[in-house]
Order: sequence, then C-alpha cells, then structure tokens
Amino acid sequence: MGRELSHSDAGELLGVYALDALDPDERDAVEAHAAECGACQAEITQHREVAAFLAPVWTPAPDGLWDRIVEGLEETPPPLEMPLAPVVPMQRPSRRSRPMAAVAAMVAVAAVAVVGVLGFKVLDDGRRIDSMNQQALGTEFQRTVNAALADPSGHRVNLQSADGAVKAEAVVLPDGAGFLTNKSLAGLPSDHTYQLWALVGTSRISVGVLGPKVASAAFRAPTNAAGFALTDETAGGVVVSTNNPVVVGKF
Amino acid sequence: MTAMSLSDASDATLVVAIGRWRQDALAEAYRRHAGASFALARRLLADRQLAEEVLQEVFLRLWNQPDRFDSERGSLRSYLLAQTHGRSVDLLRSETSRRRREEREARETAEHGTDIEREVMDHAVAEQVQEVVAGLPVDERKAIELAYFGGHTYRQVAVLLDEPEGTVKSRIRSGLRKMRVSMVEAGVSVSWAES
Repeated sequence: MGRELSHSDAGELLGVYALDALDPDERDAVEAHAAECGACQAEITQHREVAAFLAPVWTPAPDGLWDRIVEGLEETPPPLEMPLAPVVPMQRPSRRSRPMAAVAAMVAVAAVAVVGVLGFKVLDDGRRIDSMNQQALGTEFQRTVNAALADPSGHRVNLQSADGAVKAEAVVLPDGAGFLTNKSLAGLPSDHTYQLWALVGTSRISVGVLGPKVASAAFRAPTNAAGFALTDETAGGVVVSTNNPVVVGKF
Repeated sequence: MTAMSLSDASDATLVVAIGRWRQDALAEAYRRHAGASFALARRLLADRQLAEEVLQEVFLRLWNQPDRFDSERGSLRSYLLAQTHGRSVDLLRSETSRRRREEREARETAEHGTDIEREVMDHAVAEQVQEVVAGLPVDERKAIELAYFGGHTYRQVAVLLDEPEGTVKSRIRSGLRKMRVSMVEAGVSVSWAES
C-alpha cells in the first residue's frame, strides 16, 4: 500500500514533482493524489508548461534518428487505413432469435472461434482509439463528433437496450470514420469497460474498448458493418466476448 | 484530414491522427518538437547517444500510447518535454550513467554548472523568458536549476545548497509560480494553447 498524502502535503510536492525531483515513493504518492484531485493536476500542468520554457536551445535532431524511429514503428499494428481484419466466422443465429439473442449467439460462437493475429490487431486498434476517446482530446474532439453526427452523408443507428431504450447513437461517415455518442449509458465499475463491436454478417469485430464511462468515441467501421453492439467486459477488453450485449443497433 | 493539412493541424489534431496510426502525423510532431526534446535530453545527459535513445523512446511512446497526451492538460510541446525530462532523469539516476554523471559533475559545480538564463534561447519569446528567469530570487532560481538541469531530487538539492528540504520544496514551487505570473504579465502564452 502506497503512502497517502493529504491535499496540503501533496501541494507542497507539486513543484518538485513537475521537475521530476522526487524519489519514486513520493512521486507515486503525488500521482495517486493528483489522479483524484483536479486542482493538483492543474497545478502540475501549469508547472510543466512553465518548465517547458526552460528547455535549452533548439537543436536539430540527429540525422538518421527519424529513420530509426520509423523502423521501430514496424513492430506496431498497421495503420487503420489498411484493410481491417478478416471477419471471424460465426454460426448463423436461429431463425427464432430476436436481435439481442442473435448477438448473444454470435458472442458464444466467437468465444470458441480461432482468432488470428489480425483479429487481435483490430482489438488493439480499438483499445488505442478508445482510450484516446476517453481522454476526449478536449473540445476539438467533441466538435468533430458533433460535426459527424450532423453530417447528412453519415449512416446513423441507435443502440438500444433490451427494453427498447436508446442508450447510444453511432454514425458512420462515407470514409469509414465512425463515432459513437452516449445518450443514457450508465457508467460501469472502474474495473470494467464498454467494448464496441461491429456486426458484420454473422460475425462481430471489436472496433473499440471504450472504458467504464463513455462520453463520445471514435472508431473505424468495417465497410460492411450492418450495425453495432456494446458489451460490458473486464477492463482492457477481450478478443472474443461471452457476454450478452448491453445495447445493439442495426442500420 | 489529408497529409497536406497536417502542417497546419493543431497538436491535438495531430495526436488524434497518430491514434489512427497516421505515420505522417507522427512525422509532423517530430518535425515540430524533436529539436527541443533532443536539446533538453542532451543538456541533461551530456551524452549524444543517450539523448538520441531518449528521443527515440519518447516518440515511440507517443506512437504507441497517444492517449497519454491530453490536450486539456497542456500543449504537446510541454508533454513531450516532460516525457523527455523524466526519461533523461531516470537515466541520470541509473547505475549505467553514474560514471558519466560523476564526470560531468566534476566539471560543473553546483555554483557554476547550470545557468538557465543562458539556456533559455529557444523561443520567439526567449528575451521575455530570460527576463523572467533573471527576475527570480537567486535561491529559487538555483534550486530550480539544480532540479531541472541537474536531474537532482529535491533532497539532493537541499544537500547541495545546504538548506532544509522543506525550504527547497517551497522555493521550487514558489519560483515556478512566480515565473508563470511574470510570463503572463510579459505576454508570454503559458496557457494550454498549442505551441
């Protein structure tokens, strides 16, 4: 168990924290406090902005360094502009299945489906995009979402819970950029996350791990997505889900 | 967002594009900020090769974890410099760089080794920043110098300056606050705007 700081004690350490002048145990304690304290986080930000002005003379980065960085990127998943992962084969749901039951059936089959490397990469992309969405990247991101929702060329779909309530709305633009916005989704415990799935044929593909509290999110939609579903998963998301969707919507 | 528009894109937009695996967005972030980050790492580490390693790590981290940057909490420049500083300090305090540090400290005493008035020449606002730094009380300026450029913990700074630890903590915080106020008064943007 780490040391807990009072607000006053943490405050005294904010300046030295911003300059990386703390021992690890104190640094961890400040970070734990600041994670729950907006005032301290704001002061750290202010100190770091000031410190940035102390940086020494701008020096051209060494020749060849960018090339080495690019080489390092090759180990990361491919750009989202590249084709998405192949659809995981799934059984067709029974004819009697209602939409929610159909999605549940997909999940059950997906749980035993072989998920290839590319399938994992799609999940990884989703985690990446989604965690960024949780940061929200400020008002600029929200403006982008609002513009997408108002775009007449977008395909929109309401995501509904089992009782028919519209809990979220998604829109997909012609270029495949997708956006989801929360209407009335409840927050999940901090060790859970919403995970967004594209419904493609009888399969579903992870397109985003949204975190426990969703405001708005961006994702990359498969061109042949027939709809979307959200599941409640453990934090970090899953490659295949065995949970029933919380909400689902089809175009 | 097309590649052509990236040069005009805000830092927040760049990072969104990086989140979508746009390598050209990372290249634009590198073009804007690598020079300052490299200069800081080299200044701290006094070792070009280690500075290059830090820079490489910082930009790979931006690629792999773009969500760690939050435009609501400052500019991309300050974020990358903070990352650079943190990683450089980690190296400075590591065993592998102990000898380099000792060699450097043999050349640079606490009294004469750092001079942030001379260091601050990177910005269009350099003159104002220099004046702000020069306007700090000497004891506050010296504590900030030793912590920021020396990579010392505040406890080490206290020993170097023969002052109580609490005094050093207070001086650093007070000095940073005064700098911010003075920069605002001098018209230097220290808001969360893009650099």
